Parts: sequence; C-alpha cells; structure tokens
Amino acid sequence: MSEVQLSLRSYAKILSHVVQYPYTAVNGVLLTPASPERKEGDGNLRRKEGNERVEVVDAVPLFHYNISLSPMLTVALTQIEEYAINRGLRICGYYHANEFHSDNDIGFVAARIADRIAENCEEGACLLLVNNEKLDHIATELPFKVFFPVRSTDRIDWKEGEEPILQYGERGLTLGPEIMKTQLYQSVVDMDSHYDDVRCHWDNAALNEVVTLFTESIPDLEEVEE
Amino acid sequence: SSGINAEYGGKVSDAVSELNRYLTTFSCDHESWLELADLYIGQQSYKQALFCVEELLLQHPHNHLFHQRYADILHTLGGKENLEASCKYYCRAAELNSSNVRALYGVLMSSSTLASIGKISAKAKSDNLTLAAWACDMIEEFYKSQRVGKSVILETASVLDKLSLK
Repeated sequence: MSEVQLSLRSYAKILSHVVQYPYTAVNGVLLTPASPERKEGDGNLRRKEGNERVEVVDAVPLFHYNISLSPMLTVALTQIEEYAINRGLRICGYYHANEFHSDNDIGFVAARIADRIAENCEEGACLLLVNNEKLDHIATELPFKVFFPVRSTDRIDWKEGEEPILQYGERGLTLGPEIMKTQLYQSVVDMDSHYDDVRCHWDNAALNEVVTLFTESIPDLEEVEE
Repeated sequence: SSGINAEYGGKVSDAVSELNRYLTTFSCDHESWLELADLYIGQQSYKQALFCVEELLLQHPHNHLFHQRYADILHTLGGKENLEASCKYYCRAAELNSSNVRALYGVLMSSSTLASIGKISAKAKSDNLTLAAWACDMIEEFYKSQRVGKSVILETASVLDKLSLK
C-alpha cells in the first residue's frame, strides 16, 4: 500500500494557497527528491519494507484563476521541471482544491491535469485532493484525500489511498493553526502571481523561512517512530 | 468518479441562466460578462466563453487582457484554426501591452505548436518559427528588465529553449 508523507514546507504552501484564495479552485504540483537515495534524519520516516512512500518535500502552487486553460499550464510545468532538475528534485504529484466547500471529489479538470502529471512521472505519482470540509479541523487532522494512479492501457484511474502523514506528526499539525492565526498565507506566491509580476518567485522563500523557524521551535525533536 | 457535483452543477447553471438574463438588459456590464465567461470556462463550455469575451472585445477593443483571455480559450480548444487565431490574439495583446508576459508566452506556445504541425506550408512554418524566436527574445528581455535574479534568467532561457522545441 502506497503512502504519502508531506513535509511541513509543502503543507504550509498548500494550505496557504487554499486559504488565500477561498472562493476559487486552486492547484499545484508536488516535488520529491529525484535521486533514489532518500535524505536521512530530520524526522523523515524510514521506508517501510515492501511499500512505496512518496516523500513530498515541497510544493509549487500553480493557479487560482481559470485553472483549466491550457497554455500557461504547459509553461508553468516546464518552468517547475527546470527548477526541480536544478535542485535534485522531480515532480511527483498534483494537488487540487475544488471551488465548492462540499465538492470533494476528483472533477474532470483535476483528473485531466493529474493524468498528465502522472504520465510524466517516472515512478510513484499521487493526487492530493483538498478536503474542503476538513479545513475547519486542521488543528487535529490533515485536510486531504490521497489518490494513487492505477494505469491501464489507455487510461489512468485514481484510487483512494490512506491519508497522508505529516512530518513531525502531531507537533507538525500545530503549523496549520499558526499559519491561520498569523495570516502567513497572505505571502503565498503561485504561478499566477509570478505571471502577474515576474519578480515574485514560486519557491516561496519567505514561507520556507517561517517553516524553518517553526520547526526549530518544536521542542524535543527526534525521529518519529512508525 | 469524474464530473462536477450535481448539486453545484445545478447552482452553476442557475447562475449562468441568471447572468444571461441580466446581460440581455445590461449588456455593458463588463464584469458580468467576465463572470459569465469564468463560469463557462469552469464548465469547459469554451465556445460559450468565447462568445462572452467577444462581447468584451467589442466594447473594449484596446484591452490587452481581453485579447489574451480570448487567445487562452482558443488555445485550449486547440486545432489548427484555433491555434492560428490564438496566435493573432496573443500578438495583439502583446502589442497593446508588452508587459503582458502571458501574452508573450502565448505567442511562443501557439507559434511553436503551429510550426510543428505537419500539414502547413514551408512559409507558414518559417513564419511561425520566426514568431516563436521573437517571443523568446521578448520574454528574456522582459525578465531582465524586471531585475529578476541571475539564476532565474538562466533558468528562463533554458525553459524557453524547451518550449520552442515543442
């Protein structure tokens, strides 16, 4: 059974993106290390025997407007691929938040984009669907459903898997309410922001810094036992 | 399973009906035309979305964003005629506002896709390649003029090469 682990960094960006644009659908891509050797330490979970773990180390928010229009999606994916290659990362998945609070299924647009991303993944892809209804409970649980691709000859079906795991577990979850309280989500940059002003970079360095500070403030950090 | 939630599908089509009704009386309300276009785009009803943006273009012929939006929808629909039209609209958008980087990328995407289609004349192919190269130069210059970091410039150059090859 495959599993997704989300780093605090990626969680911070996805959550910020969703909250910053509450009245519209948003989406983005997930990044993982390109090399087969995983990074050790830093509270990352060890590989389970015989199971695949998708370790999402970062996320790049894509759009919050007219997300189904194609040309900028191609440009954005190419830019993010280039960015990833230069940092030893690769695209490993896609996240999507539907526009409506109770619409928590994979729609046509989400499936189409996820298919495209999965087709370009050498191995291990995932689709993270934001469960809008769970956004009220981020103090206690992650607001996501995870899907993995089941590939047949001419199509991909997305089968729901286990809920993702957050880096640092329960202590990591306190980052969500912190982001809401401090309104940190306002600083999120997505590809739409970049095209509006190319000086804005989708690496969200400012958010990264805050997450680092937050991590350092977690007391008694040690490797989480599985 | 795919497909928009039926309940919200219903609410969206109510909104669409209402807006259509409203716009028969208040056809100069450009925000409403935009909203209706967005609703249609969200439902992948691209032909209807085009109609809305056409209304906007009639009333605001010098608005670069409307030209670019029109081109985006045409490009999404795809096919040779639509790509040719989208290229023209992207060019017009860029002409109206040379800082519209989406329009510039749009010129690049549409012209390089057209250049790679088998059934076009040698002249059309050559024209499209020239246009794609021009768009690349414009984008690079634009990024440089905005004083983005050096690594971004380098990455962008590499990205433009990749986009041109398509």
